[in-house]
This record gives sequence, C-alpha cells and structure tokens, in this order.
Amino acid sequence: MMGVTGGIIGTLGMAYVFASEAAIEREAGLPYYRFLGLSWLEWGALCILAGLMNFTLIGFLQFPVATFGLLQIPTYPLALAASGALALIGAVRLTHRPGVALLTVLLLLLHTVLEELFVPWAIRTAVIQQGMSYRIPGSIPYFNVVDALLPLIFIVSALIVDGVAFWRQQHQYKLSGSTRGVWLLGIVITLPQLLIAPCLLLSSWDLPRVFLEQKGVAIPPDLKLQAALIAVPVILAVGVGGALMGANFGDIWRWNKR
Amino acid sequence: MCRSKILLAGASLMFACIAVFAILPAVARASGGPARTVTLAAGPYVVDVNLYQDPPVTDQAVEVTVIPHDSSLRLSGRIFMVPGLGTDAVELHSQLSPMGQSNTLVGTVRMPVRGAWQIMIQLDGQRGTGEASFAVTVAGPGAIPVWLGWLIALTPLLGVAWWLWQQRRYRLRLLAQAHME
Repeated sequence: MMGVTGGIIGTLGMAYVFASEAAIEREAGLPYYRFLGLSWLEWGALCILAGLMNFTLIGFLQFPVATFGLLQIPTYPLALAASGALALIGAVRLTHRPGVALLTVLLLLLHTVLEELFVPWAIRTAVIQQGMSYRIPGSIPYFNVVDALLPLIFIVSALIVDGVAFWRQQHQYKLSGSTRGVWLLGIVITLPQLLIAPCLLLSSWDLPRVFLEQKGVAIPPDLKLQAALIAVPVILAVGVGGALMGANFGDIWRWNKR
Repeated sequence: MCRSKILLAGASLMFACIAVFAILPAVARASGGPARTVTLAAGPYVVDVNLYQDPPVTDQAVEVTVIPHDSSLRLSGRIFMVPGLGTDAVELHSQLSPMGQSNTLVGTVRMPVRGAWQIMIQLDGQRGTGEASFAVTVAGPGAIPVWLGWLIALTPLLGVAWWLWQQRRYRLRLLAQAHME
C-alpha cells in the first residue's frame, strides 16, 4: 500500500512538471507547434495521466479485500473510480479542450495493448534464454484480451466528461475555476464504470458476482442487496472524491508555473 | 437547476443503480474463493467444506461453509473442534446454520490453542446422520496485531491528506491570480 501511494504521488509529480512547462509555454505567448490542438507538453501530461490510470489497472493485486462476514468486497473498484474521475476531469481542466478525456483513454488503451504484447513475450523469452521455470508450472503468460481492453471501462465516462465540457464551451461557461456540480459529474461518470467493469472482468452484468467471491455458494438475494447497499454508495462516493480531486488538480495544472 | 433537484437526481440514480444490482438473478461463482476447500464424504452426504483462513490463528473466529454436492439436500449440522496429539486443549463445538434459503450451511470455528486440531463436521438430513473430519494446524498470533499493522500502513495517508489540503489552498490562490490578470 505504501508503494502504491508513493507511485501515485510520483506520477502526479510528473504531471505537475509537464503541466507547469505547458503553462509557461502558453503564458509566453510565442508561437509553438500543436498536434490536434495540443502542445507536446500537454500531450506529455496526458500520457502521464494515462499512465496513472494504467498504474491503477495493473496495481489491483495490492488492494485488499474487505471482509464483512461472508461478504468479500474487493477494494479495487474504489481505486478505479477515483483514478478514472481524477484523470479524465483533470485532463479536460488542464487543456480546456473537449475530447481530451477520450484521448486520454485511447492513450491508456495503446499503453495496455503494447504492455500486453510486450510483457508476456519478454517473460517467455527470458524463461527460455535463462533456463528458468515458471512458479506455477504450465502457467505460461500470453496476450490477454481482457487485460488489454480494460481501458474500455472508462470509455463512456470519458464521453460524458467530454460531452459536459463541449456543452459548457458552447454555452460560454468556463471549463475551470468552479467546482460546483462536479460531485454530480463524479456520480454520473462512476455509474457506467460500475456496469462495464463486471461485464469486462467476468463477462457478466452481475455486479454482486464481482463482490461475492464464494466458490460454489449460491448467494441469497438479501445478501446481494446487503453487498450492493454497502459497496455501491461507497464506490460512488469515491468517484465523487476523485472528481473533486480531478477538478482541483486540473485547475492547478492549468495555471501553475512552478 | 436548484440544489434540491440535483440532490434528488443524484439520489434517484444511486438507488436505481442499487436496485438493478440487487435484483440481478445470478448465482455468484467467482474466480477467487476460500483459503482452503476440502471435499468430504460425511456418511451419505458428499460436501465441500470451505475454510476462509488457512492456517487459522489462535482465538480468531474463521468462517466455514458446508456445501452439499446434491443441491436438493437440506441439511443441518454441527462442527466439532477436536484437539490433536500434543495440543493441550478441550473439545469445542459450534452450530452450522443454513445461509438464507440456500442449501449452504455456515458456521465459525475458533480454536484457542495453537497446534494440531481435527475439524469434524456432523450432518443430519433425510438420509440419516454422517460425519467426517479433516486436520488443520492452528497458527500462533502475529507479531503485531492486525489493527496496528493497518495503522502503520495507513500513516502516509495523513501526509497525503495534508498535501491535498495545501493543494486546495494553492489552487484558490492561483485562481485569484488568474482573475486579477
């Protein structure tokens, strides 16, 4: 847990570096090259934010399982909700451009696909070259489609964030400054993640199935309701927290020149 | 939109979401599971016994579920914790109770002395009585209590909370500067 906390702070620090350089460049008023409306430094900041989301995706084994009697609730969805809201809202507030939330998810997708192509291949090659054996015999890593496509969890959320930013821009509202209503955006963007994540992870729309890890046990409906009553509000609250942090960090990244 | 309407919309969305998740009619069978599963033939009943912590730790209650292979069976039963050779303790027992309307039985085991123990499951049903047992080794308590471990692990979060608070104030200063410019 301490390692995860350190990793997140380090990644946020890199986002500060790219964003502050981008703010200095913007402030200088000199012409600079843009690709798809973004400077290279802003692209760098978006890559870092995609990296932060990827860090959450691959770090899921670090998150403990909260046990309430027979209920076993993984805390991993909390991290997903927080990092998704933080990165997507932060990206839009940093660049003031609708569409960058989706762009961040696409960068994340590129990241995970390349990672899935490279890491299993590197492990197999190293095992053959160095004559090692697998910790679990026969468990040879190959390209995993589900792991590669995990960023799709955030697609709908990104479209919502971009849609809201586009609407605000069309109606002459500012994209940064105020945090009013960000909590509602946090709830709205966390809901699709709650629905898509079990679908991707277990090919099921059944959220309690993700939570109630009981081999062969038929879970009675009242226990499912209990699980949902505990887990869903907590995850939505964490999504709101992530959205508020994203709004705050996004504004800092936009204006900070230090 | 006024604040009460926003609150109402948010609350409605949340409760709709909870309702959808709660009424989905599937059986939970996930990839993870108990720490240890033992298949036993307790007389005429073949059951899977799930132990949710392995090894169990002294004086800590551990959940046990008993799942009959024949899903039509409705059983009742008890768990006996019998000290093994060299373990200085007395025999203990606890009740198994059905989990909701399902045929799964749930109980807890709690053994006060570390060492070898036998967990004996005694089942009653339409086909009579049956019993079977399996061995567990109870471990001693950890070097530090679990709560203290968590407290130490979460200490850095205090620093993170302080940093977030500072950043929030810094953001307000930046916004004020931006407005002045």
